[in-house]
Amino acid sequence: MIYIALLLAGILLLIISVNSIRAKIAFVKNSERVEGRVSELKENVQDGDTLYQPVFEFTSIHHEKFLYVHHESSAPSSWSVGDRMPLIYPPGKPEEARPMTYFWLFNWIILLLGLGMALTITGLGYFLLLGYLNT
Amino acid sequence: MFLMKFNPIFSLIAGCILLAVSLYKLKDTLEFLEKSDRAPGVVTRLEELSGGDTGTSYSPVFKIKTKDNQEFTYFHTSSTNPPSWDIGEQAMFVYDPRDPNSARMLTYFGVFSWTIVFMGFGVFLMTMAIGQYLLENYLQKRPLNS
Repeated sequence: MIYIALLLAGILLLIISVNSIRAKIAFVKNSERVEGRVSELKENVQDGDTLYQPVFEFTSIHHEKFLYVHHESSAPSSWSVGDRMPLIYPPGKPEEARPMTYFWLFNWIILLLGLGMALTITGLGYFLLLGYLNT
Repeated sequence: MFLMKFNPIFSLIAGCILLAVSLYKLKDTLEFLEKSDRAPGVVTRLEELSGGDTGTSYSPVFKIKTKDNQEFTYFHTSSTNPPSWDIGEQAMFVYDPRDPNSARMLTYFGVFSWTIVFMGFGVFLMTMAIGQYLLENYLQKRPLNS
């Protein structure tokens, strides 16, 4: 029955996304958070176009300098040298730094949460409204 | 990077509008079901629809006989290839006795399709907006270590 499948898939997505949000929040609470500053714009040539990828320099809480190369590149560059962004990494692992922004930490989880709610409503709606179709 | 530029205010407003429309449609449909009659319909022919790349698809045409022995035709809106219906197959329909053209197939999606689509999409957009607002605020309140 397709509506049972939709309901179960929705509930499964809700469970996964809520657990992921809790895990991410625990990660943010226990992590080390520092400020990164764009030190250079790396040039990448793709299909004849030059894309600019920002490289962030940051100082760990143990006063060591590290670099974080952003996963995004664009043309024209969306970043300028000197721009700042908060970075986050697990305690003692600055080489695993990533942006401390909603998009990088939570966006896909919230997308799954929204999808889970939509599927749950569709599946649950069938069982709630079935009475009106049978009378 | 469409999702990066997702505006939570726009998303919240669009979600609220869709949810309001879906609740209005739900009330409208429940009222329609209360005052409507039900009658079986029989597939009398399969209409061939020629589509560009997908080739020919088939849409069932039902003959519905009302309580007072009036007959009317219902053209199903979806078409498939191969056809999902055979000639002679039956389905139950619901219609306003004063307006048989209002007939809808008596299935969950046949009756509540737009209500479900609007509600599901509205709740999806509202979840995205509220989630983004709450979690962005949460991140802004976490102080940096250096």
